[in-house]
Amino acid sequence: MVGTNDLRSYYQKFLPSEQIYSWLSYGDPVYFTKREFAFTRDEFFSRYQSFKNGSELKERLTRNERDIPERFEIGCVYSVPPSQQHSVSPGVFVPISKEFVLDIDISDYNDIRMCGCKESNYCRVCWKLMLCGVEVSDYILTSIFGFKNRLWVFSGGRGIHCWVGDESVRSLTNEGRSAVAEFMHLYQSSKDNNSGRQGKVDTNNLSHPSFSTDSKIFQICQKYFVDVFIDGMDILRDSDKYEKLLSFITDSTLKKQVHNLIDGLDEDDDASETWSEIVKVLNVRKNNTFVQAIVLSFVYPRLDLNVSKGLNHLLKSPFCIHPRTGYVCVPLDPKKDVPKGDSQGFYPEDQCPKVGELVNNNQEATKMMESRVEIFKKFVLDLKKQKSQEKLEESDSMLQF
Amino acid sequence: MLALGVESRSRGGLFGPRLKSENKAKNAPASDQSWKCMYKSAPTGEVTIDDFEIFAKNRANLLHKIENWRAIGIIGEELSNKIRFEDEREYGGYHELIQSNKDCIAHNVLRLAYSKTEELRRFFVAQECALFEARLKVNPSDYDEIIKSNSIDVEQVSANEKQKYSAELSIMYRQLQMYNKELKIEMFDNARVWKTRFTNCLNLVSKRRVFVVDGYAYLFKTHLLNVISQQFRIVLAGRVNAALRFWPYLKESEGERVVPFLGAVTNYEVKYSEVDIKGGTVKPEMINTLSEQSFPLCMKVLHKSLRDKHHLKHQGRMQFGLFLKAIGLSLDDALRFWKDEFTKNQTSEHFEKNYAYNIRHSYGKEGKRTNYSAYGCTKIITGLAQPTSDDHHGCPFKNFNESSLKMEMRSKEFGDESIREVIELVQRKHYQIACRKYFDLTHPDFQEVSKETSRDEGMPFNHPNTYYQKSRQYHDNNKKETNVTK
Repeated sequence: MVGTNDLRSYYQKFLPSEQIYSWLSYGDPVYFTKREFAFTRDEFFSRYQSFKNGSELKERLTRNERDIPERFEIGCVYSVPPSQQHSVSPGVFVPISKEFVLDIDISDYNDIRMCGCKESNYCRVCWKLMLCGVEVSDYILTSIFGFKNRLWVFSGGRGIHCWVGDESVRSLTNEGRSAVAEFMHLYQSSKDNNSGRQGKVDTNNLSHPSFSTDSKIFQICQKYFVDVFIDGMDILRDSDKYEKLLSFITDSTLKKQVHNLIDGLDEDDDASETWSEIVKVLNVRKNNTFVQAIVLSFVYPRLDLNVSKGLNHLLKSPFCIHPRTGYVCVPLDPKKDVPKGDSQGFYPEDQCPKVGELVNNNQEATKMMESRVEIFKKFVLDLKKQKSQEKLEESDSMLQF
Repeated sequence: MLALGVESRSRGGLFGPRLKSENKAKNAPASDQSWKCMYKSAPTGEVTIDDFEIFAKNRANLLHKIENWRAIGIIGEELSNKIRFEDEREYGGYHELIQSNKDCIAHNVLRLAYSKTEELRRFFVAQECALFEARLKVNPSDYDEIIKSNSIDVEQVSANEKQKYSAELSIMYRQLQMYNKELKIEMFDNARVWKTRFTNCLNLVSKRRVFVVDGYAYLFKTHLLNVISQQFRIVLAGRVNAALRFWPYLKESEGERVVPFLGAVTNYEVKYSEVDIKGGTVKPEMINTLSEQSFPLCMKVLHKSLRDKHHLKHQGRMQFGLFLKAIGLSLDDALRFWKDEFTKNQTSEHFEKNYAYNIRHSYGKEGKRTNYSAYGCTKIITGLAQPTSDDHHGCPFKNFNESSLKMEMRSKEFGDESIREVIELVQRKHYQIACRKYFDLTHPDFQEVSKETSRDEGMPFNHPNTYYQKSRQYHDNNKKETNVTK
């Protein structure tokens, strides 16, 4: 558990509250005042708080030593500042806009984490599933939907969040948010579980060209599949583990052929070569989706759909402290923090400062924090650039007439 | 006569002043008032009060039919065909419809009437959209024109751009062909391609029916239908909300004639229109048997509660009393029937003093002598006060909790599957369809036995007395059959 004193000095010395203000005001101070914040302390949850600026927010976090929030969440922008909602007539206080958000948790991958990790635990191997989530989702957000301003954040616990702040995205309706989330969601949805996190992709969803075996998304996924499962968890050398893989091959002849390939795998053979051969065998049969179903079911991001769909869903703020782990919820760079070449990508233990280290002036942690704040500043700066560029384009197009 | 929209800025006219004078060449195709222009401008000119009311009632009737079809799961082509059949009956064929003042007036009147509550607005938008879509499907060659006249942001892509994504687009096209027969004749190379912001075709995006790049969805001809109908839905939702603000003005200028009608038309329900059953055909002694065989569940509940407690509160007495009157219980018999029950707990003086007047009143023999008609399902479901624990009026499919409803159905020995089906309908708030399902389960082979000429596909009856009459028809035929075989 994180102590109150540590939290208080963290909020005072390290929380980039001015940057948070700069982000959430999007160049409009009034916009910031209509944003909902929610605070949690000792099971007490207070919603619908709002502030004039970053220092007011910081003040709320630090002013009363008996009421230092353990964490705070960001909600949506309302028509009226949430703290004044009771002074307006009912029906006037309505949600207006919010970033489009994504939430991916490692605990939703339990059925395929054959490294032995469960629930909120993770290791260097299975953690890469989160980075795959970043890489694939970031590709979809940018290349497919054309979104520009994304802030990826480690949640401090068992997953990652993404905030998309483009102006057109913030004004998406609930239907618009649902459509993007549904487009991204390839898994079978069960009736009882509306968030639909199940271990198998729905093969009906695989015919879309953005997910075909030629697609960029599939290529990213296959890279992670080999890295995490074939090499990392070594699933082809353990019958309990490859059983899961075989269960996707519903054709008994093909299944037998694949089984034979796996049986022929020797101690010093390269398992990834065997995987290439499996792919070849499966692709002999025309129009089958076995390879896609295996690769995507193992690594394709498992989104918590409900978080993305609702305009007024709360999500933990970047730079919060995770109460259980003490990690700062730090931003990630979707290009530099994913595995590339020799780099294994972002791993909390290596790259994420903890609140205790920071308040005790641990140099390494302070450096980490600084570099993470830099990512955040760049995101905020990009927002500003984007805005002025759009203004420029607007005035250009005005001039043309 | 009733003035509709007027040209000047002066006040007056049902749909208010129009700020801009629109081009309204007579009978020009697709004027701004037409469905193709999404009823951009309000109808002008005058209309007789009679026409005004008939147009609106018929439209409301059509919208209710659409809702019922959708509720029993009719979708796609089948739904469109059904809608078109009724549409043509009301407004004529394709060309007549475009020039139809009737369509425009009916739409505008109901838009106003249905603007009053969130529930009514949702109903109106959903059914009007289904109607609009069914009309769109008739003539895809109109799409270009409709897109242009409604300034929908869709553009055709160049040959170069099509070429750039030809690998992906040809896959999408092949998939489309599998579902869409007309496209089979056209080759991908000849197919035109459009693009629009993905936010203009959310349905297609969420179902992954389109290829999306950099925020733009690439569309083939048939997809334009989705884009156009999404636009219609948004425009309509905005206009219905705007119509709400028109009410105060309307109350001032049309408070006496139009406002009461607009209130009534949304409560419009299928009146029990079958031939009136002559009073005296049902005797108090027959009610127990008839209740068991032919009363809908709401009436059974009231009957049972009357027999158990020898009392019913006012709303229950009205709902049940008027039902009994409509199945043919004469006034004298009604007085005898109610008195028999009530006097098991109270003196006959008390009954005469407190209840007899009410009963005579409901038969039109007292007071203003209105001959009240029996309540329909809409009134029973939404028009009565929410029942408290000692009330028994209303619709049991709505008011009962799940376990009581299950218990009731188990006592009728319905199978688990059937019970689950009814409960699911109730959960989706389809109370009337649940009731119809209950009817089908208690009247096996209804269609065959009753010799119904046209299959009614499990459509709800909309009136407890229709339920009753269909049941009697069934039992009478059943009896005849048995007699013949004997």
